[in-house]
Amino acid sequence: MKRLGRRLALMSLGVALAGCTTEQKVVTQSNAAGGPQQKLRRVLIAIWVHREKLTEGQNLALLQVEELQRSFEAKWPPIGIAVEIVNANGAPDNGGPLITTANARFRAGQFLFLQTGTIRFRNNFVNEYDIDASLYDAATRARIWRASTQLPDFWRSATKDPFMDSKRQAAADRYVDSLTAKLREDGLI
Amino acid sequence: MEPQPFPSRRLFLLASGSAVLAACVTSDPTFIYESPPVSAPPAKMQRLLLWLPPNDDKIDGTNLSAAFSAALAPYGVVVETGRATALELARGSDQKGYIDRFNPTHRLEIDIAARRRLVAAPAQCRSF
Repeated sequence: MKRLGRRLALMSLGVALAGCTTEQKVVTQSNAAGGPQQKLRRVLIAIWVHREKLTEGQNLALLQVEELQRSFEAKWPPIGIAVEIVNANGAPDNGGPLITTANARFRAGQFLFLQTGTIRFRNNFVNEYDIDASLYDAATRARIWRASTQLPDFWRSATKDPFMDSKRQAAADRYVDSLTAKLREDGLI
Repeated sequence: MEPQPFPSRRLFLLASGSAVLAACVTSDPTFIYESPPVSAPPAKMQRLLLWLPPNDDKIDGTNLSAAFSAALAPYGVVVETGRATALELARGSDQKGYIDRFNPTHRLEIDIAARRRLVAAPAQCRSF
């Protein structure tokens, strides 16, 4: 009986821990242009995170450029993709001059533009949101791929907290992993 | 609005008419218009290509299209409606077939830039 009780206690603990699990399942949908495309080799990634209509706290709740940059820089060079990140948040002319300057040095084969998409709030907190991605061919300047990634239950999985930096970085990693998998599935990696 | 990496001369109609999208809000929508600083002199509308979002999630495209047709018919304006593709890549390519066949004198493109949704208990939710 005592043994059964211990087993039940362990099972309860397991269930409780599972309930607290913050693993977030991100989902990416994409649309790719028809015809063969160049594989990604040198990608300039410009990122717009903040929105004017959000409060500072709400903007800081979103995954920040630095967090996404760490993920891209950790994950893409090992698979043969050189990256250059441009923080276009609040930049003049929507970041155009910054991108031009960075590209004069980097000479990208493709441009990947990331921006915050639809945000869903709960009691004024960012509960979950989407990141929209557009990939442009540098030579033709045509948009060749587009994706939208849902970060459901974002608040629980990546809340902004000084003690939760690793949790937020894990959320950024999950986003980059999802984007990478979709690019691979669409033949661009 | 999506960042425009390359110059575009598309005329944007920014409709802050979210009220019309939310069934629970009854006030009239308000509109803000932005036109390019340099634009061609206005020409009378004869054939209008109405370009709507890909689905009816955020706007009732079928009713909207019918309403435009009814409102413009007395002025002799013919309306043809097209739909954007989901995760649209190149709007110009998508519209080419309509333009070749219908030869519109004007295009009206409607995109939903933001949506506010008010939900009662248990929590208040908004979407942007």
